[in-house]
Amino acid sequence: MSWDLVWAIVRLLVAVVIAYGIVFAAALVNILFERRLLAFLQDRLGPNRTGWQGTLQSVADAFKMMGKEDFAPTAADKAMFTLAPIMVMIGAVAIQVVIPYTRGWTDQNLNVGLIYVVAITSFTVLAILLGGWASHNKYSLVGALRSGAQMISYELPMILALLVVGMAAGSLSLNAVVLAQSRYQWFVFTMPFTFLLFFIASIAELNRGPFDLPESESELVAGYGTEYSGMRFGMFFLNEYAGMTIMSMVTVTLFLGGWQGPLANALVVHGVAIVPLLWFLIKVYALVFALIWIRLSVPRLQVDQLMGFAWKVLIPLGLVNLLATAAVMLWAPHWKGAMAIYSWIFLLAFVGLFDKVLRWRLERRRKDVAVVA
Amino acid sequence: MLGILKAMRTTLGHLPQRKITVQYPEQREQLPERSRGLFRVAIDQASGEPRCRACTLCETNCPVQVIRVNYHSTYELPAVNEARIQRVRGDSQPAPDLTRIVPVIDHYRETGTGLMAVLQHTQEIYGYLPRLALQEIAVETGVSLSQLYGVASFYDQFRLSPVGRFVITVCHGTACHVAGAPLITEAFSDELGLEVGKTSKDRLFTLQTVSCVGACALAPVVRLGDDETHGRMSPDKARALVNDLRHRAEVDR
Repeated sequence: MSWDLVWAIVRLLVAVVIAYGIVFAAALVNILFERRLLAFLQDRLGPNRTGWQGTLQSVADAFKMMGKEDFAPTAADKAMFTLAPIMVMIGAVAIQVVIPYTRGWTDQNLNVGLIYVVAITSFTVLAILLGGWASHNKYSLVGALRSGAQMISYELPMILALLVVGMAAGSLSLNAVVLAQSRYQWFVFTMPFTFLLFFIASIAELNRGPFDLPESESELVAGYGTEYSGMRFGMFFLNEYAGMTIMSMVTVTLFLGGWQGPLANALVVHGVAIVPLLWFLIKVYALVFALIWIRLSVPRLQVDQLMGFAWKVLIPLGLVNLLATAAVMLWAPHWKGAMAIYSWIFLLAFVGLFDKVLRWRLERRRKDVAVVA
Repeated sequence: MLGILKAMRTTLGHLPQRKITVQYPEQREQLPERSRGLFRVAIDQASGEPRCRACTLCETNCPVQVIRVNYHSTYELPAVNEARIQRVRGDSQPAPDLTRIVPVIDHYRETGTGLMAVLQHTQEIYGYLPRLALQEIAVETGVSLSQLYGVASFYDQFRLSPVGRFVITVCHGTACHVAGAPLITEAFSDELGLEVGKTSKDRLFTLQTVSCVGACALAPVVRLGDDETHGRMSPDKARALVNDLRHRAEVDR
């Protein structure tokens, strides 16, 4: 056996351990962050006893979870039942391969990075469906199908937004996307509507409020996770929370200029710029903050509203946006301002008209009902 | 959409606000002036005895009935009070002739079962369950007095206080109620000066109500003892009945 092969295996193992470490750490940090932030927004204090200001609360919870009984229903498909919580992490771990953390630190600069992101995030749906099916419990199955339907539906507007990003950057490589946003021409400024589209879809992909129907604690049995307990449940749970960070990383890379920021060259260690890494993390956690904030503020949708919003609002608007952006780029290939103006108008029209259209439709429906009656 | 932004502004406004959580062991909330906290029996430091005398006054007077006094007391009533209590008890319950229940208890001993039967026989003998008789039964059978009391007070058929010579039972079934049973009860109560369920001082009348005697055709119905039934009553008839009964008692004397 050649040393190259051994070296490759060692590198692979180290990379996997680091990737898993980042996922777990992100999840634990997010859980604590969410609990304390929710508490503060609700005039409470939240967990502040374990460690300094409750910093070790998540760790304690993780150990508690491991100490619990690992229970599987008799009728469950044991192999699949075990596989699902393992598989659910794949998306969060594997996506890190293409994330440009900072200048000079991207594991693999894939030239199809965007497609890779879309492909790999779908693993979560698969794992959830698998878990729900293997549990051999109707609540699990219904919850899993609901979750699967939601995630597949919202993947479409997400992809439509990603295509626009790819068009604007002229490349599907995430590094190229980041570099296309240099000089503060972040895509969130130049195409805010696409950002909104992507952001809404990503919240739904994360199964977070207001799209957290698959496991809405207050109205359902625990959804696809009904039969899971102990650390297997913990894996699903950790994935949910790690997903917040991972999805925010993708969003930052695509729309918020990635690692770009002032003083980019201030501190460089072995070709890895440190200050941009900080910018990246700050942006990521600003987005995580927004996710928690939105979850707290917005009431949950009904399941029909949820699917309707994806298929009747986001997907048509995404298609229109895709075509319109393409048209604008064809019309004025060298003038980025044109795209920005178009997208801002689209955004303001969407935000301003959304309520009005909803109300108009509601009134029309009422009239129809009145006529029938 | 705009509503969402408004909601988000509202929630964010709570971020810098003062938190309402009270960190309990370190911080203590200022209790309201009239708060009395959790009641505890105070122990007299000098004698080591509890200060509470288990008088159960608090239990009786508690407006929301949250106080229960479970006690085992070695405390003896002061002589004056004891005499007064004995007098009150004697007034309400004349000393029963305990020899009359000896055969009943002997029968119980032979069969070893039938506490209910013992209580029923005792009530047949005295017309009610006298306190002393219950004590005697408790001693002789080994069933504790509190259990006996539990059984006796659970069943409607047992009476713990003496009844009058005439037991007036007003039917309050649906038919009788519709036909005016409450008015009749009121007339009896008024004429006799008695509340429902009570016995008059001269032990002549007991007034009680019952859910249904099963004579709806005669509604409203009043039963007198176990033998007489008066149907189609009215408040006037009720007053006449009371006078009639008083007259009967005079004649007997």
